[in-house]
Amino acid sequence: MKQKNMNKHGFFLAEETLKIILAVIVIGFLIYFLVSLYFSNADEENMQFAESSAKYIIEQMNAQTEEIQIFNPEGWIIISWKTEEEMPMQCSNLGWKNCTCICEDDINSDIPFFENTDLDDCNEESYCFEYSKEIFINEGSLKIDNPPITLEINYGDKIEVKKK
Amino acid sequence: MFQRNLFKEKKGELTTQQIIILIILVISFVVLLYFLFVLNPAETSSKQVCYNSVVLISKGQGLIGSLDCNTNYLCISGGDSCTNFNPTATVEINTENKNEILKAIADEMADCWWMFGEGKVDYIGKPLGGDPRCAVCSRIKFDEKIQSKIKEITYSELYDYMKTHQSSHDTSQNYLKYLYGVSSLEFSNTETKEFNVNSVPINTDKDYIIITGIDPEPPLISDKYIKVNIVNTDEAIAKTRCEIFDITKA
Repeated sequence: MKQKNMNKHGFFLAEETLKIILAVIVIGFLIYFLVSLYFSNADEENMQFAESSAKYIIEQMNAQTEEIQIFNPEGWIIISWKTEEEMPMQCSNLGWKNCTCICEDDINSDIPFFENTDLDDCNEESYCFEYSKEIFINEGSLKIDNPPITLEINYGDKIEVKKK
Repeated sequence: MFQRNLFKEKKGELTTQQIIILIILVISFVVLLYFLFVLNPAETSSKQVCYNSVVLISKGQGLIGSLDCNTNYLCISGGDSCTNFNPTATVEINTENKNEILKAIADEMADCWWMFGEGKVDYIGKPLGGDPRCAVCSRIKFDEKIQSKIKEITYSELYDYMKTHQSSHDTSQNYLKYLYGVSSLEFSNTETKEFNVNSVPINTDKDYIIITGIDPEPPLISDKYIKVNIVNTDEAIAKTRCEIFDITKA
């Protein structure tokens, strides 16, 4: 009788242990899922800001506005490419003649051995558009920091953009 | 004979039904046109959409929903159009009556405060701490007619208007009470840094923005809700507590 109980005891422990292990795995997976959801939401928000700001720039350029204020997404960069240059895939894949993007600036880009070029940044996280005229940025790229940044636009054969 | 009569009745019934449906369709179409062209619901709807998203995100503690708020581009016009500006809304005013401009600005400020929960709703929905985050509710520009007739509007004039006129969102209060919780700034015990009557006047040849926001770590005696204010676009950070503008889309 005692042996029978002891056998039952041993079996009980194994079953419970297995349940606990499974529960931990599932909870771990749920936490990972929630965290991913949270960060992807934040990324999506910045993408929406980038898209909105890009569309605003296009609208203002169409209206030949000479100064455009941009508020967000903070920390992202505005950069432009022309046909001869290697441009982000979302532009080259569509055969665009020029490409202007608002891209997330990778914080690792200043750390040696972890450098990311602007092209790499724009291939990762960006919103890009093609414009009827070539857009030329004097400084190469413009960072949206200490908002709002004011873009001075000069309309000629090509559109020159610089930070005020 | 009986069948023929039956068909006759059926025909009559169908025709009446068709007429009624046609009348209803025409009336609905007219009502729809009225809403589209007269009430200009685009502006109202985007503000309502923003308000709804603010409420949703606060109820969900930031875990469900996301803010869906866009900056409103307002042209205050004396008859001309605002240059270098693509407005989403235009307010026509009589340049002989400065109060109309003050009303347009006060209404826009009240809309902003309402959209973002009147200082009762936490729409940031993220952990405590961090830089003050602000929304650019509106960008305001004046047309050339106003620029030539009314060069500037002082904050003192705006304050006086707000003190003596009912808020568009709560007619039981004046704008000052609705926006800043005080009936008069002279007798206020709270520091309303966001509204300074001695600020440099509003110049009608410059662009202005109406902002509000949340400061997760407010300074002592300050509220975490950044009160609505109208500032020159270039002085958005210098004249307010705002550090980041990541609430409204351009």
